[in-house]
Amino acid sequence: MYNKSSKSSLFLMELIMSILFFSLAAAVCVQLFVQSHTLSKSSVELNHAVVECESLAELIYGTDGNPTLDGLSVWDGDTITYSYDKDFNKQYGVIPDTPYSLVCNRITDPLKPRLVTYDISFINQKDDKVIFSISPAYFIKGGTQ
Amino acid sequence: MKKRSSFGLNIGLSSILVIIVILCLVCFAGLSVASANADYQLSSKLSDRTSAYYNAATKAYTDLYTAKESSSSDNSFDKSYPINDNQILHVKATLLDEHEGYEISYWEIETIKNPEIDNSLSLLLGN
Repeated sequence: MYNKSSKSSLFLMELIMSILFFSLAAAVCVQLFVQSHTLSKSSVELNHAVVECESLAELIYGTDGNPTLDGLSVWDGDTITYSYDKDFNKQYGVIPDTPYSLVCNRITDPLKPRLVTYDISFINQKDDKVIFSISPAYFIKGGTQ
Repeated sequence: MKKRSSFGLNIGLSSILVIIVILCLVCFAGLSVASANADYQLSSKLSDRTSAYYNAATKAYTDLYTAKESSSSDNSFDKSYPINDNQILHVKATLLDEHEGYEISYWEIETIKNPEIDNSLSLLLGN
């Protein structure tokens, strides 16, 4: 009877120790998995941000500084805004409650009216964080503005 | 016969199972972090390179504008702008008369350094 009880208590002890070690290791590993998920999400956001900013910059270069020639983009003063859903599908204009937006501000120096700088930023709307931005300048040939 | 008393930690099936599971978890977690980190570094490099390209392009257009405004007799524009250690943006343009602006005839990214190829391993050439 005494022997049986001792064996059970030893097995229980071993099980408790195993669960303890497993919990510790699992806690560390879950943190690593969360870290890698966050990094991976940041990479996806950065990749999309770079591609979308680059695409708009090339549209500006290709349309002599007027990206509204694509027929869908619209200047709101000196700003064009595109909205993106969580899968980075592009929608034209400002759409509320979308996680991402691409904002293009046109900056003109009165002393150099044909040398226009376009401040293009891809923004995470949740924390208002700029994921990627470029500021290409373009010398407008004239006629299409 | 005196029975041996066993004090200390017993290693049974459950302990072995837990050790194997923990090893697997640690391996997968490590691989996952390494892979995500490599992806993020590649994305960062791409974004840095894109920024550098548009900085060079901005300089090119600014110089083109300055050349156009300077109204010199020379109508040709030929300049290079560094993008990074290995690449330059080479721009050639013709400055037209006042209202027509300019015409870009050459806009290329050129590699200025040959990549260093690792020939330290003596591989079979297959002939």
